[in-house]
Amino acid sequence: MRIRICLTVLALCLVGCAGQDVKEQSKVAVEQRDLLESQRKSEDAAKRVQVAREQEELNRQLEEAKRRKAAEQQDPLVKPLTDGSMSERALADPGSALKDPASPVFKRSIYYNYDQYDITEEYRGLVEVHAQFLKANKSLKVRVEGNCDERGSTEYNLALGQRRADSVKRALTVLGVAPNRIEAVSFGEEKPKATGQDDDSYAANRRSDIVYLGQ
Amino acid sequence: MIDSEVLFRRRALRALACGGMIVGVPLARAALTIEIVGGNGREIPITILPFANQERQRDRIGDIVLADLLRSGLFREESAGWMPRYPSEPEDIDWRNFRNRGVANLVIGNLVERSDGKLAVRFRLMEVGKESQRTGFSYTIAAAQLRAIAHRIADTIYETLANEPGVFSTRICYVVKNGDRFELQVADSDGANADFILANREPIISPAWSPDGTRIAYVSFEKRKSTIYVHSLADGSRQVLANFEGSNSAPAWSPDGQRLAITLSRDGVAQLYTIAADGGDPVRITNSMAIDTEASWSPDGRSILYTSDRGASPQIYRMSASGGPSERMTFEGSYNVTPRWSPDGRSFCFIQRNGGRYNVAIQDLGSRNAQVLTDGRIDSSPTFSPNGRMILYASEHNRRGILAAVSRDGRIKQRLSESSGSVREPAWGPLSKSR
Repeated sequence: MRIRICLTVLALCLVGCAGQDVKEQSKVAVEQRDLLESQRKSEDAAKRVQVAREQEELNRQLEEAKRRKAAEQQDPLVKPLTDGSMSERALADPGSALKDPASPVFKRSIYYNYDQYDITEEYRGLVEVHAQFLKANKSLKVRVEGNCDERGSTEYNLALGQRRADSVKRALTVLGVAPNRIEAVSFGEEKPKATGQDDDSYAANRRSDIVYLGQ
Repeated sequence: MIDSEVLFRRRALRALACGGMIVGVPLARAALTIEIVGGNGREIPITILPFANQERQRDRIGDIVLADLLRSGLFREESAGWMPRYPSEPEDIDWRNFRNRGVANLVIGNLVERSDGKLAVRFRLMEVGKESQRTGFSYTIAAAQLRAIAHRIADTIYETLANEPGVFSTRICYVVKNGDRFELQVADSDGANADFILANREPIISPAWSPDGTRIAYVSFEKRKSTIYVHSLADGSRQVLANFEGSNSAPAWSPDGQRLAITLSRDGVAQLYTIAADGGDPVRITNSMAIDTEASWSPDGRSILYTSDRGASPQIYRMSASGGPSERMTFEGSYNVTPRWSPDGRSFCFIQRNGGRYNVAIQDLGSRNAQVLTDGRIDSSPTFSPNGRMILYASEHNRRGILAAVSRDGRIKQRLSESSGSVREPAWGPLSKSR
């Protein structure tokens, strides 16, 4: 009987112990489960963020591609220098546009072949740019100065330089600039830019300069 | 007569140097020096003995006369050698001595200082073969006129022995460019007495003497465009003759001095007009779609030679001074410009391009034969001496602008250079009226 009691006590003890143990075990498991759960949750969140980011990037690229495509499709309609773009910039500060080497109106010389005064293909764009610029800046006036190389007659060269200047004036006028804003003068062979006696110097001196008055 | 003329000119030049339109300080300048590069091989012998008392003056008169004659290229010096005493009057001449030395044309003379400070100058040109006088004059002058009277004596000797007017008393004008300074200068034909009548920071071109030598028309860019002025040498005053829209250039006086032919681009391309010498409305005389410029009047005033590129290349044309149809004069080569009618009216000089060179040529109006006279790289702006013997023109030497002269037959060549600056745009003045 004593043994039974003892056994029972032991058993009870054991059961008691075991009950205690089970409780402990389930607590840990819950904690563990919670931890995993939260881990999974944060991983999911990061993943979602990542995915969202990737999606965003894709969307951006897609947008950009769309924009590019749209821009590409639009390009043929937009001239390199529209009235609007020229005037926006030039109206803001025509003085600095004339001084800026990157500006299309920075170049102001038209060059010619020997004994010629017609504006060659190469310089037609330049004349157009100045016509746009002048139309956008109504207060500006120009003097077109015709020049020649030193060879030949002083007086014939003066007349030839005048023809060069006049042909630029005529072109600007045809492109819509009022004639009273353009003075065409000739310096003939009197004001050479290059003083050498070689073909390059001569070519540099056969020229019309568009001079903006007061700039 | 001589007194007033020369003194007046000197004073005028001095007055001009102080004049209002002159910018800055005159350059220190050396006179043009003239170097004869060739001769015609059949020069007239001349012997000029020292003038009595010439050593007392700053300039030795006999030397100036001799230098003038030799510079023409038509004379050679026949030295008489050293003599203990040089004759200055005909009765002192030992004819046999001069004959033995081969002297043919002998010049003797003397200077006498008068009590009133003036100089009495006498000279005689003697023909040794005939033991007689060809010509002789006496002059009473101020000491400052010695050079001028030496040129007068040289003119008289030249005219007597070469049978054409001498041009030693004439003047020339030209433009000197020094850095960015331009001066219109007037000098004696030997380059002495150079002085400027206008100084600019802008170019000056195309000076043209009035037929009486009192005024010079020219083109100045001082208004930043070509404008024609007429400048009076006596008092330095000037007036704008033409300042229309575009170019105003190429002034050329009519022989009577009443009108000028000019080139204007106001009605489009450069065309010829005439205008009264004191201004007024220009009258258009050419009507082409091409450049018409560089008018030159015939000595009788009836015709005009000019440059036009109406036939694609610039060529020389002739027309009536009152307008009407034109006749093409040059056919050889693709660039014939700057015609200048000769004083005798029988020929014209011009600039012709041959290969890459631009040279002075002369063409007979009758036969139409042309001859190239020079061989520079870029020769320009030819101008006849008033006796038609020489053509002065702009050339270059050592990459500097110089003046050069060539005889109308191409045999005699001279080079004129200034010590500093570039010289161009010459114009030879008329014969002096007081001859």
